[in-house]
Amino acid sequence: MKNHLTERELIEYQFKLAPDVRMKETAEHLQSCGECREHLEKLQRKFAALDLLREEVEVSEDLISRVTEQAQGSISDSILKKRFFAALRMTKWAAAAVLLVGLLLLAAQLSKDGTKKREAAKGPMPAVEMELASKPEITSAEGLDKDAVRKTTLAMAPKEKEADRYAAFDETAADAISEQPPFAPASAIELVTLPRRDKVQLTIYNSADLTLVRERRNLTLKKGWNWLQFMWANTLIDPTSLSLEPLAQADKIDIQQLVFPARLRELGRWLIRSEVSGQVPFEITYFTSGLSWRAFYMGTLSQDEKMMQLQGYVRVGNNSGEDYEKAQTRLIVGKVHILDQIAELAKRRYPYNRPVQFDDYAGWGMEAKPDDERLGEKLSFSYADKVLDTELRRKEIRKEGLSEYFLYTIEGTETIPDKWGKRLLSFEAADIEVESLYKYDEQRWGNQTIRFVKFANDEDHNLGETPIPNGTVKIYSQADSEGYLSYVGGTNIKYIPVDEEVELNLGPARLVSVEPKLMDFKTDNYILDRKGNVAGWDEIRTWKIEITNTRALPIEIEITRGFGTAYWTIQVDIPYEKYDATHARFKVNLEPRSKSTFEYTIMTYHGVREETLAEKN
Amino acid sequence: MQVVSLNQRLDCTNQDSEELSAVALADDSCEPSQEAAKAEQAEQVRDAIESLPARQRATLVLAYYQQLSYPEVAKVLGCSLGTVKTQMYRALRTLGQKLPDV
Repeated sequence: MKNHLTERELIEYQFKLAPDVRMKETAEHLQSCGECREHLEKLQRKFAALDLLREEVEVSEDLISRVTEQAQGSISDSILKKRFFAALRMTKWAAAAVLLVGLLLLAAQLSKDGTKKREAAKGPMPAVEMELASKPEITSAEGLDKDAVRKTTLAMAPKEKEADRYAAFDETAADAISEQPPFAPASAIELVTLPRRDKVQLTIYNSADLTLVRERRNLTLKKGWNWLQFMWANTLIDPTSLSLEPLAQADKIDIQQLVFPARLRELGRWLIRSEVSGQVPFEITYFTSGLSWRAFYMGTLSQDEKMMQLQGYVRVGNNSGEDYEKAQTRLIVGKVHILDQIAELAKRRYPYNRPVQFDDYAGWGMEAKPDDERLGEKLSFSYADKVLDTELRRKEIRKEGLSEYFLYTIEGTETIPDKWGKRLLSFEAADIEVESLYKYDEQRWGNQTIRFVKFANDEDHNLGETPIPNGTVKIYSQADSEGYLSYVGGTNIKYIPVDEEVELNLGPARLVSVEPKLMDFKTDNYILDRKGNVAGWDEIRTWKIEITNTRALPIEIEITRGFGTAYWTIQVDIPYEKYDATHARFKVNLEPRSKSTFEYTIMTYHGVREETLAEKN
Repeated sequence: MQVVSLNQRLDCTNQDSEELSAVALADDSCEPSQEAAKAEQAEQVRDAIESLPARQRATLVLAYYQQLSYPEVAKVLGCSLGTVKTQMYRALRTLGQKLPDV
């Protein structure tokens, strides 16, 4: 007797892979060998598990038709149709694999480029990506828009009866559109390849971590009912904000509903009734979070510190989980009120659930309902194709007012991949007249002298075109005539409207100091009540203020003194300003490397003496 | 509802499609524990198949699930009959290694 059968021989026998002669030999051996029979039965039991994946999934006739047509004209339609349509029970993954096969062939047919074919055959890829890989016009080198396509797929609606399925091959039969919309797409495999985004516009509302995305894609519709599937897995897109509008043939295309299928996470499907077939441009809009921008500024003081050059930058960051290629980018300055945090919405298990509170996002301070309509009105969408003349030319940021908001539009388009940031010059202003000012106020800053740079956001200061958004400012000073810079200080600024003055707090000044000394203290004018108790008195203090300027430049310093009561009088030789009820303010100018002192005597009134002062006034 | 019950039946019995069409609605569903075990097993099979190289996977799908004959698969894939059989064998060999013994 021949040796026992190998596993290969058994598999080939079981699946009829061996030539007839060997099949016969194997059969004979099995009849006489119980051990091999047992081995075969074990294999049969193992491979029976493959049947677990058989499910009731229909195969799209459209897909099959396209696959077969593209694959080769020589294949008999009848064979394939018969077999495909007979096989109504097919697993989902199997369906995807059929698509994969078809597209392999499609790719081979459309493009002789073997590389693409190899890419398409690389392995288990999502069906949609597979389609993309096989698209001749999309190469992996362009691959930023992997998302674009991951996101949106178009699934054809099924026909109700099998007879209709065959009718789909017939152009005339396809003219009639069923009045009843299909309950759901028959299968996720019925995909029509979508091109990448045509255009995309981002409007970033910084104050609320909110970005309005408006993208244009050319969708290929079939006459009849179409399903458009939109997926937002691993992104921060707010699914409840999704909106779809045809940009052409609007009278022949009806977008009926957006459904969020049960058990399918992070995807929505639009049901579209189309009276036309072919490519139609669509605009998809939605809100996402994760895109942000922040402003920062660099000021350079002249050597005499009377002029400043100010450069404003904008850094746009993308943590939305989505790549945005060649996006027209607009930045909104101003506060937007929204109800829910978009990031939370995006993390909902199902889009229609209540948002879940996440500690990570606590305290974002978003208050009211999104004013979608208002935003919509103000952000009329147009694709201004501002292609740069040259890559070297610096992009400008165009600014315009939008009522309570302010809109910055970055010239041209920007590609902002996920997890990337980009810095762009926002504005540049030279020869801004500035005042350097030192301040001393013990109640606010202790015994430190603080340095300020003061200017106004107006035309006189070569500014004033736009408000200046919140941001950090770093101030440098030209240390010598050769232009070397030294760091002076930095601070955060708040939103500066046009024509408003701004004082930049640059922190403690080491070269200017103020030293107050109490020179004398006494009490006077005691008033006793009828029982002989003290009912009122005056306190008289004499202070000497010594100011030292060790800088090589003249300075102006503002010294604020507080008295702890509103009832006071002062005697001083230099001018002073009553800053408020309890404070007086002195301004002193000092020459370079000099000292200056002044004295004042402050008399404060207490008890019934307060009334005396009030009567005097 | 119908599809759900058919699938339940399918999971329990592994019967083929002709038999399935006669199954009544949701009367004799499996025990939850059995369902869970089947689901897990199905997941294993799915993973195993998804791990196959594209060509082997396509061959398996067309020949086994789509029930195309090997010559038909060869026509669809634009390759020889020998290649189809080789791909099919390789796919089965890999699955044989990955699928659990029963």
